[in-house]
Amino acid sequence: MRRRVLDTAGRSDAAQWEDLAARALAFLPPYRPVAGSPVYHLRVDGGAIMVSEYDLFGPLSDLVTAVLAVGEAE
Amino acid sequence: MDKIHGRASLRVDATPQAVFDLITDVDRLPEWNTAIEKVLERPPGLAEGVEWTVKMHPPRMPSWTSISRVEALDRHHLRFAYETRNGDGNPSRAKWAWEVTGAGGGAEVNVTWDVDLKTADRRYFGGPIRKRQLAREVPKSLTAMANTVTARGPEGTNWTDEGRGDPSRMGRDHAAPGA
Repeated sequence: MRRRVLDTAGRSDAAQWEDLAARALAFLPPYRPVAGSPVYHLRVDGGAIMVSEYDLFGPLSDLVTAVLAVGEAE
Repeated sequence: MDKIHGRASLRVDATPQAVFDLITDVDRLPEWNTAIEKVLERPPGLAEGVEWTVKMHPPRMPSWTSISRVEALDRHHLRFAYETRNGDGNPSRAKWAWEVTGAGGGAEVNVTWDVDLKTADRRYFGGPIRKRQLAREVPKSLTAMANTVTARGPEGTNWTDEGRGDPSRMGRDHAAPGA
């Protein structure tokens, strides 16, 4: 299990992150885990979702990639 | 960031033809490209205009499908160019160009990439991330490519047609060397 967290509070680019998160969570794919494939647990503010890697696309994929790349280990 | 440009090169102790044959063998991409997990679809033969699809999986990142279309394949001058797009339909594109030349009894490989980021998210988030990834991945892949081609013998020419047309080689599940 690999965890990354990003706190937008105080960031100069908080608006971009919050816009991306809003777009990512606007249209959520159904949870369809695939054996042998990663599952991503996303928590944004008070909400939480799970999504299979096969269903990561568009803004959701951009959000996960960005948080994994620049987020801090929890 | 609207665009990413990059360039890398490496001297290889093998014939230019052997190096070019490896680079243009779609089936063997996962053996040396550290970001490619497996080949999902490939054409029966490589030619201008044909496409292949791979599963990209850089270390510690989500995977995605990548579709590449051949733009130039010059087997005489050992030049190979293709355009890559994300399988999710994002309009961003990357153009890759390879050239292999003779150098000091071996080969010199030069590769350039020019990524055109078309969406706001890719410009702000994906572009800078991918730029850093490519700066790490491409030199590793070139080194792995050199190791692969030299491991086949000094001439490196007796493997180029292995597996072509063999459906059992499709979709094989290679782990990316750097994953």
